[in-house]
Amino acid sequence: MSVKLMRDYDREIEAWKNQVITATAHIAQLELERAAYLEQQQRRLNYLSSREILELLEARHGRVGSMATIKRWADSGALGEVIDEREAFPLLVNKQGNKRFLYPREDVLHFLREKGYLRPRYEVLDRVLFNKDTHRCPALIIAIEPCGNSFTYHVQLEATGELLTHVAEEDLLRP
Amino acid sequence: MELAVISMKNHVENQEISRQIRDYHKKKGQPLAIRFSEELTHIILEAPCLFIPDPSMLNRTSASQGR
Repeated sequence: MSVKLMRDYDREIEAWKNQVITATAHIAQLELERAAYLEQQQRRLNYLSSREILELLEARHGRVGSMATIKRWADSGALGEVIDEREAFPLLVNKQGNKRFLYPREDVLHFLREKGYLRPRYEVLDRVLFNKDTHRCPALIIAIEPCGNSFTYHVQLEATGELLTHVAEEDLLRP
Repeated sequence: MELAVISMKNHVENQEISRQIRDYHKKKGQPLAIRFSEELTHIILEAPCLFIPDPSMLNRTSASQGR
């Protein structure tokens, strides 16, 4: 006749308690890392990579450059103090990724603006479509103001003659 | 430096004429300042030397002064 073996409650409970301790420590560590990650993500907004600079140049119609151009600008000090992305933002990069340099955003924008590479998409006197909330009305560009790495526009609506100020570039379309 | 100035009423036809003058200056690489009067009643074109692609563009509705 066989006797049912007694379950080792003490051992099982001890094992689960240990798991809770490990998990709690793990959660605490993840929470810290998440905070650091968000902080790095926020700080990363102040920098541009070479690729991001090239995309900006292309989008701004200024010209299409090359990595070599950007390296030349960086070497001459025109793009401000260069940093290593992996060193500055370890949580944002792949471990296997290539070494990448980052340039302070404000310095880059300042340089590109001075060089005339950040041109507005529209010019004074251009006829555009003001596109907001599904309405599209023809309008005339009256004036342009720089705003960060973009521009805002004063436009006059063709139908009413009404002047709209500080219209974002995204709210305008070519007719 | 003395500037040549054209001022014309701000309406759709004159906007088109101004655009052509603007583009003509751009093609020639000549400077041209474009602004609007207060209340946007007039378009004002200013340049050391104004180039008009077609003289018939300018009629009695536009006032020009300078060279």
